[in-house]
Amino acid sequence: MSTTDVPDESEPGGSDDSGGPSRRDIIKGTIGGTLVAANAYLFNNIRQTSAQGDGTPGVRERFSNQLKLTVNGRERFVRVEDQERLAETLRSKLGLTGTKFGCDRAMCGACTVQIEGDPIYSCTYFTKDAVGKEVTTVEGLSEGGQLHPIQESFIEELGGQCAFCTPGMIMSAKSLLEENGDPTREEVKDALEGNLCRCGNYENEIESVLTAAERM
Amino acid sequence: MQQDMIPPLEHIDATSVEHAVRLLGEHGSDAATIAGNTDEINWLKNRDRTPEVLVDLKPIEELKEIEETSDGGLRIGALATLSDVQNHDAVNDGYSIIADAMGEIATPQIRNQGTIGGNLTQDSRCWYYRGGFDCYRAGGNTCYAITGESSDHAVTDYSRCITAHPSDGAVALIALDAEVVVRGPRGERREPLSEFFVGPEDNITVMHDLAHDEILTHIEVPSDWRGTNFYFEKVRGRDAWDFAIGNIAAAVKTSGGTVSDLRLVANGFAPTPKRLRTAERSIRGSRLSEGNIASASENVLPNARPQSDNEYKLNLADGLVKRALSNVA
Repeated sequence: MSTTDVPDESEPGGSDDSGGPSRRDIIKGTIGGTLVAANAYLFNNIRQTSAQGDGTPGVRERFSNQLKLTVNGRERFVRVEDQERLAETLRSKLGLTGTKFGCDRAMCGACTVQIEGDPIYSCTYFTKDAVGKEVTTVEGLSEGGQLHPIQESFIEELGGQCAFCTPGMIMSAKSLLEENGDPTREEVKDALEGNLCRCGNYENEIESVLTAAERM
Repeated sequence: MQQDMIPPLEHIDATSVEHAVRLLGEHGSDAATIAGNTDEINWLKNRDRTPEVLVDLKPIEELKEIEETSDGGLRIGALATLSDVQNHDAVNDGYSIIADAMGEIATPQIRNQGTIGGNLTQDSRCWYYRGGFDCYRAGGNTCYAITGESSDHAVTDYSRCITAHPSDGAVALIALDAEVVVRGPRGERREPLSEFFVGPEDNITVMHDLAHDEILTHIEVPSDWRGTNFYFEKVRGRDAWDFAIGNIAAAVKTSGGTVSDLRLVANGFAPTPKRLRTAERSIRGSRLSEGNIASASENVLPNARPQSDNEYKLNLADGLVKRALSNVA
């Protein structure tokens, strides 16, 4: 039984003949209270001493040699090398394998993720540079098991053929639709110009984005 | 899937221009400067460059600002991303040619990351040089493009190395008589952007005159060409990613129906951005009539010496001048 159960045990008059709290209750209560307070203090302290919005490493990062990343709204602490790129970290350390490595030269778009809402190539972006910024990957789109409208429309309009480029396409499409809810076909083409599809399934990809725009 | 791991290195965030200059001085040739890092990182992945230290300029916030100067010109921080420049109100209001050029660079993802300073200071795109050949530019004693594939290479002003300058931003900014501000260990200096670029005749291993421990901090655009008539066009193999096979930026001032002054600047034809002075002279002081445009856009690169597989660039240059003068608005 943990010491946090103390309050339940020390109801008034419940455990002692004299009607007041027993010595045992007082000791247990003191220990429990101190632990709760210490935990609160420690955790609160860690939250305060980890990296702030400006990207300066806090105490936690310096002691653990970890960086604090904000990925899909969650804080993730991860140890990275100076030369490590975001796509490597996402895939091999955070388990977010939706982001693909295609060419690894910023020439295909399969690794597209959003940094602060803007699409970038995560194969060509040092993980270190993402500290203090909001990273969104394709895994961050669905909510409570419900697919994002862009994901839904890519399924319905057959936007993915082999679908290796699809996560990147979806992230570029998401960036477009966040800025422009009612794009023309030309605007969709421009927004997707940084994503190659080796199947050549561009028409269906453009249709998928236009369909998603109608539903959002 | 095995990726191209970058060998271990130390990534140092510079906190100020002075800090960056000091770091570059301390580490010398062991250090490389990065900012948007859309290009340098590929050299690292290919292991054609293996710096021990990366000096990252990105944290220097003051170099990201774009502002209108008191006299109506522009002062653009070298670390402003291509997207920031493209979408900035002060740029679009009076200097739309800069925004037009930015919008044609690479892809949205690269424009969100790459900086305007990097666009001006980028290295040669020659596929032999990039491919690790020991050509003149890489310190060797031959040009592989002259005997090999040279369809994208320069047709004029070259000397031994026939690389073509790839920047789209440079032509738009030179057409506006922009200046660059550079800071180094000996303080600040400024020079016209047109003199910033270095051809192989002067130094075959570099594309611009920044010393290793100097930082390009700002690009300043005077108000002289504000709101005049502009035209920008970029010709490339496909509508995204590709560098220019040829591009042109035109700024034209007219008064009373005649052209009082103009700038025609093209890239992709020479190792440095090329002012098309013959065409400029031919149209300055005359009307933009069909006949005048036709004669101005004839043989715009009079000293060209093309290779057998890039002779088409002479027609391309003529055609770009014709289109620029016909469509300038």
